[in-house]
Amino acid sequence: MIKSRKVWVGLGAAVLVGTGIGTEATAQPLTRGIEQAAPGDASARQDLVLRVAGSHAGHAAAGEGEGEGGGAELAPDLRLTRDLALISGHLAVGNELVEAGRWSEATVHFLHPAEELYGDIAGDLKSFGIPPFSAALKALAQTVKAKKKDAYEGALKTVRERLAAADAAVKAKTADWPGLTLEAVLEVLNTAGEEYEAAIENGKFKLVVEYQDSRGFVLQAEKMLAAVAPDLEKKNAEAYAALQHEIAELKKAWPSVTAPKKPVLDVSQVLGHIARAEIEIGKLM
Amino acid sequence: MVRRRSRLRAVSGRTARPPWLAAACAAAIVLGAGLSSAEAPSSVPADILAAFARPAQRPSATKDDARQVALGRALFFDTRLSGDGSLSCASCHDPQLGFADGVPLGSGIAGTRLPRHTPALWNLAWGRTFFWDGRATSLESQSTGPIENPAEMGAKIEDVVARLEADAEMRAAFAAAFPERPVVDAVNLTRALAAFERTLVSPETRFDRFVAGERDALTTDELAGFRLFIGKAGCVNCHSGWRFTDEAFHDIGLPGDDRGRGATLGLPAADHAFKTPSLRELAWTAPYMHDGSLATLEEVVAHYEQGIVERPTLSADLPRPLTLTEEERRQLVAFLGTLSSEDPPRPASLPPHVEQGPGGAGAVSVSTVRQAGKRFAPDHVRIRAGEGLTVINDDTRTHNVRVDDPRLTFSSGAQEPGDRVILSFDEPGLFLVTCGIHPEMRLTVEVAPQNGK
Repeated sequence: MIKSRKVWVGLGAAVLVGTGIGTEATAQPLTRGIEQAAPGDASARQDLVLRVAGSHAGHAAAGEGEGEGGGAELAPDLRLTRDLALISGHLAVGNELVEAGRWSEATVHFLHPAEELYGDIAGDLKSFGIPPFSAALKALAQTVKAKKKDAYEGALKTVRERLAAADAAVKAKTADWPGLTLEAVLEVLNTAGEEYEAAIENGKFKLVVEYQDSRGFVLQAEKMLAAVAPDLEKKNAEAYAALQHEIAELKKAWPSVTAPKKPVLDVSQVLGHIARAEIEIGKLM
Repeated sequence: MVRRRSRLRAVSGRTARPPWLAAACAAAIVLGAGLSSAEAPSSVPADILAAFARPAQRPSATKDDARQVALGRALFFDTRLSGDGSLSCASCHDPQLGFADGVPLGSGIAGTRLPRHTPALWNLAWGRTFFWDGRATSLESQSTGPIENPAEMGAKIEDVVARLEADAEMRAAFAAAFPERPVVDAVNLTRALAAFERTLVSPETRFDRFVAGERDALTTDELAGFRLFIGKAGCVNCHSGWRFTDEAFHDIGLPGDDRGRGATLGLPAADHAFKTPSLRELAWTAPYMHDGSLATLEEVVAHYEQGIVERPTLSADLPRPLTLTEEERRQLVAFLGTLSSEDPPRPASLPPHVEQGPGGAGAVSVSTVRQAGKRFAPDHVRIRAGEGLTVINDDTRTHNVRVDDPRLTFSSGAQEPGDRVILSFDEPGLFLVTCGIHPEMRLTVEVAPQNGK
């Protein structure tokens, strides 16, 4: 699990990356610490590393970033929405593998939510009056282990209904659902960036599961944006179009559920798209 | 709530109850009163808890020969027991799915949709009747039912026996399991299957620890759910005893024209009555009910509150009317969760799985790596090309051993606790082995050339 949140951007973009969220339309000057690049892909070394130390206005207290399953410093609604989205992302990519008949590969993506994410949200679920669904998640994973398509489809339907109900419960208690969605999308994208970075060693995909995780997260982020698209278009059509463009460019890093032999986009490019998406998200807040 | 006498039992004239039933009913009568909400967990009366205590030993535990159990296990997974060789008992009673099939209505031979939900097989050693309608009175007689049912496995038992008898290994296994009558025949086949099925005992759960005296094994909500279960909600009227079944037949008001026990007995008063299912390992055996119509426990609770179809044959043990608050529903479901294992349950009679990675078959293992506590230990090993490396899951959680390398790509799938994976590497070099579920687990394998190369 990656504890620090890094945003790799090209020099030109770096000066524009701001707190984003909580600002109106205009990108803000940097408020985050800048440190020299060191780890990761060699091609990124000429870029700047922005270590995100700021918070998302209105939701989070200050604190250094979070990886998957982290984020205790985030507001409960944001933390929960993000983690529900990460669970959905795991399921999305797992489902792609199941659809391709790659049950064994899919298994880890169905085990991951219960193993790594659910424990962190159990308390928040209770706070929001959302029925627990740990058993449903585990039962779903069993159907994948068993490679039973009919059972899998039924169990997946149950879990998706639980996730939808959970989202609905959070939404019911949130004044600005599109805004919260945007913040959660950014969290999910950042997690995707971290996973993508973790997947690559020496310019090759060494941890395929992380590649697949990050793909699932980006697909889920896109889905979340689509769900609030009318609100976002109404607020700032230009920024929303730019955000969609960045997501589309970002998605090129994951041409399929199978990791390409060589990364299509290097880590700095992926994190650059995420940083630029953050700028657009800031304009939409 | 005072426990009422079952109308079905009254009409079927079963006034003389066997000892096991008497014990269960006695417990239920005590339990029917429920616990007051003011009682602290530590004050739960011992006699109430005793009614849910697990027995020390299963019936026939000393009679079932280990060789019969082993043969039964092999037969349970043997597709030669079906007419077209496509299905085994495990096809529907899948160990990964709690010995059920995870669908409302399963499919038999040639995809035939079955009329009733596949029941789980836990704790059948204590069973008195089998099938949803109780038409079999022993596990042995039950076991041939699905094999010979044209819609299920669609075989003729004599054909099955002939196929098995033609197999020298099977002949030897039958001879070893039944030395007093060493033949491959239907009698020994059903005895072996029953012997194996009797070993499918559900593991202890948090509820068992609570009953055994570990009072903080249940949360406040779960304990409140237990109180509802034995009190206001009246679940214990039928789901009594440590297996949470009274072994009786009840019409619980599910829609449909399946006569159930009524057809078996030729007794209209027992129409729509089905055997009370055990609630053990419930979390792993959705969907629920004899028709598999309820996908979640929340739906089950909702059925008892507002889904019951009015009929003259409705069980007198149904709590009517039942109205729960949202919190009570949640607590009840939370309690039901304590009757299931936290991790996928695996009976002791199913041996751990050993998976051979690429090149692992035939390789002599020279090193063992363990995985307890989400760590490979050791995390760096040296072997030679062609030698075997055994990775054993001595952890309490599922792992996924994998190698993502252009020289070797391998994924073990789900490696359950106890399972072993044997890896071997054909070429020298450094290899990274990870767990797909816990990516922080990393094992470096340094592969040296084979001796003399």
